[in-house]
Amino acid sequence: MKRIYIIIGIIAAVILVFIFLIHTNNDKSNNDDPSKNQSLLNIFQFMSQQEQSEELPPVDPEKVETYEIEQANFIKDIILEKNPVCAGEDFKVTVIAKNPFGSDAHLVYRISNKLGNPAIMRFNKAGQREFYVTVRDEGKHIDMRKVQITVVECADKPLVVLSARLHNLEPESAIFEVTSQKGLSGKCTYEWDFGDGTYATTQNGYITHSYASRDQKGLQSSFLVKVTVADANNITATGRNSISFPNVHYLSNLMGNPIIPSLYNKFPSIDSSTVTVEVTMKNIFDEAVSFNNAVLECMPCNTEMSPDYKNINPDQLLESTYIAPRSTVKQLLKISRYLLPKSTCNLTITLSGQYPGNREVYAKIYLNIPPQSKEDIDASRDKIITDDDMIEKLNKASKILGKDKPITPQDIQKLEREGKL
Amino acid sequence: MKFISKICLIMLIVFTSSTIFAGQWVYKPMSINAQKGDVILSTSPGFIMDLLAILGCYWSHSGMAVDNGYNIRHNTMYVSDIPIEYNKIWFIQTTPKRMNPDKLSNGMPGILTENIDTTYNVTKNFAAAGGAVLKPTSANEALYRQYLVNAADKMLYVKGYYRVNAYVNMYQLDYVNYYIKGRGNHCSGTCWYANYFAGKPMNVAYIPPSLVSQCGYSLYNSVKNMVRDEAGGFGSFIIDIEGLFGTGADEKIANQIVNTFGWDRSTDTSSYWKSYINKISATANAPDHLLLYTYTNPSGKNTGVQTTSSSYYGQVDPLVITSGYYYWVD
Repeated sequence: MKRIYIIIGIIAAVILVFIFLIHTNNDKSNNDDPSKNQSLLNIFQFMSQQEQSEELPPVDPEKVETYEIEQANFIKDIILEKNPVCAGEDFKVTVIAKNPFGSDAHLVYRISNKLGNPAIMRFNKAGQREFYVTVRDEGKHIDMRKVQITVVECADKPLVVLSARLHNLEPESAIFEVTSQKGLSGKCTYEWDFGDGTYATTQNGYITHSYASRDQKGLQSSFLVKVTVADANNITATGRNSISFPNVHYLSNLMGNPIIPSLYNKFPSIDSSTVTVEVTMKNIFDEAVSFNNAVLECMPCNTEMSPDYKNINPDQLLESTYIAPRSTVKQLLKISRYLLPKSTCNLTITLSGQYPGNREVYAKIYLNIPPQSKEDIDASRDKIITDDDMIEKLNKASKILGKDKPITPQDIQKLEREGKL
Repeated sequence: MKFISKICLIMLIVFTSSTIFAGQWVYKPMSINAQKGDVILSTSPGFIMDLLAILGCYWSHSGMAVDNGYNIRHNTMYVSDIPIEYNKIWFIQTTPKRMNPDKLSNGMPGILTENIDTTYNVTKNFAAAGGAVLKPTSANEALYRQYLVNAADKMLYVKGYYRVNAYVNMYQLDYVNYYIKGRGNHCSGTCWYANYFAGKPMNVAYIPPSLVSQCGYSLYNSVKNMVRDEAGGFGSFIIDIEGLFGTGADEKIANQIVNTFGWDRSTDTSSYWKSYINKISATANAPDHLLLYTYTNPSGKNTGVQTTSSSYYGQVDPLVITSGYYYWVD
């Protein structure tokens, strides 16, 4: 009898050890989830934070006002450039749509996973394929259609795959890259057509392009981009893609506060008396713009301190404060340094003027003024460089670019690529 | 001679000390034209963008500025970090089975704060191109900023998972600063909640069952195409072989995502969702639904979701991103 108890005891102990091991293993597999470990810690933090632990009731959905998204009939036709298509081959999809609620320019298009209309698509695997086209207006109407296309395997032929994506750091730019090229050999030449009337030729399959000067005539601007690749034997192949930009300036007008696009260098020329920058302002709207006020917002280098505001006459800054409808003005913007407090690191200039409909039109210019002394270093954000290699690179870059010019990480990368650092 | 040596030594010390203390290089980080409490809108590509695209959205991601232009707090999930679970014969992995259900349902990292350098340049959770800043109108700036600062403080405090299911039911975030399984939100839902916790319940979009069903089909197709086209040679071979024995991995994963999206059934790879066609509605805001449309279209209709009384945000400014830079100070 005693022996049976011992055996049962051993079995129970083995089961407990087994369960313990499994549990430990699960914990290990969850170790990449920091929340698990943080949760307990946070609970204690939460308990100790009396001030923040005020009770907030959960949302009562009945008390929140809702607006119904409505099905609309925008889509009239969807045109496929070809059907069937070869696997890996690009094809153009064009959506014909009408907006019964307002302007057709206020429609936003999405073709499969591509923003814009028309769009270039590609399927890599053969078969009967489906995708959706979505069209909506700036508000709560939406229309959706399913599209079917036959994708077939084709005999090998020169093929170029062009990728297109929005730039992660430059709001009005795109990055294009040839990610695959088959049937071509040797050194290649790349001829680019950006779809906005501009072209370029490169010796490699990577390029960035700015669409900042595009006409903003609707909520979206879509471009078909083409690259023709010619190899050493003069065999050519073409790759296409599409890119689309939300037109935020156009939308700003719909929202009630039109802002006109301005192009300028965010690092102005600074001398002892004046801060100068060349500004190109494009009036994308149908009404003339005349600025009658300018506000200088001077942000101190120490971001904990409050900004200083000054209202001035825009004539003190610009030669011309008038921009005709759908036209562009390029001029120098000059600010006397006596207008700026000593420790100003960021300067925002907001130009404003009257606009029809009892509204105001704006142009905004954001400038950087590098700190001039140690007192201007914002210890909470700015980072003092202590790495000797980096200091050496910066010293070299400074000699090349000019002593007082601020150096961006992009400047460093460019100089490194050119072998100058 | 001694005197000359002394002078030389003093000169050397003076020279070297002036070299050491002559100045230093300092890096000023990247910034954007946002103030504390503003909402940042972005068109970041990827799975979430595809998901939002189903609602025809203009922007795919949103976050809130938690200071004056240097840091954004937002809610996101890294789909590529979700482990794929495989079918097993004895201990040998065979074909893809599904995405890890727990990590699909409770997306990580969830709500996090990133500086501008990191979010635009490293993680690329936000993209500059097509970006916008949602802020009060100039006329309301002075009055509303204090409320938006309060909303940003709430945003700074709150923590939670990224919940795909929040696109159907947005009401699932608690005012806590620790993670709770099954609770959290999506990007714009989190921004909505920050305002709600600060005392401003903004309007919410209601999506009727017919549109939710279309969203379901569109999402299913989008994921299926993505898995099929991006699986690569061996992956597509597996999918084809699987197809011979039943549902392919592309269909399973597509089903799993739609089931999670609609019902938070992240363990379910069946076509459960198809039996609920035209039966469930959604109450949730995509980033676009945070916008105020003061514009009245030619039919005299105000088509927007937010009104001047429901939102502090009345103006959309194009995003301006200022590169970080090194400067020399004496």
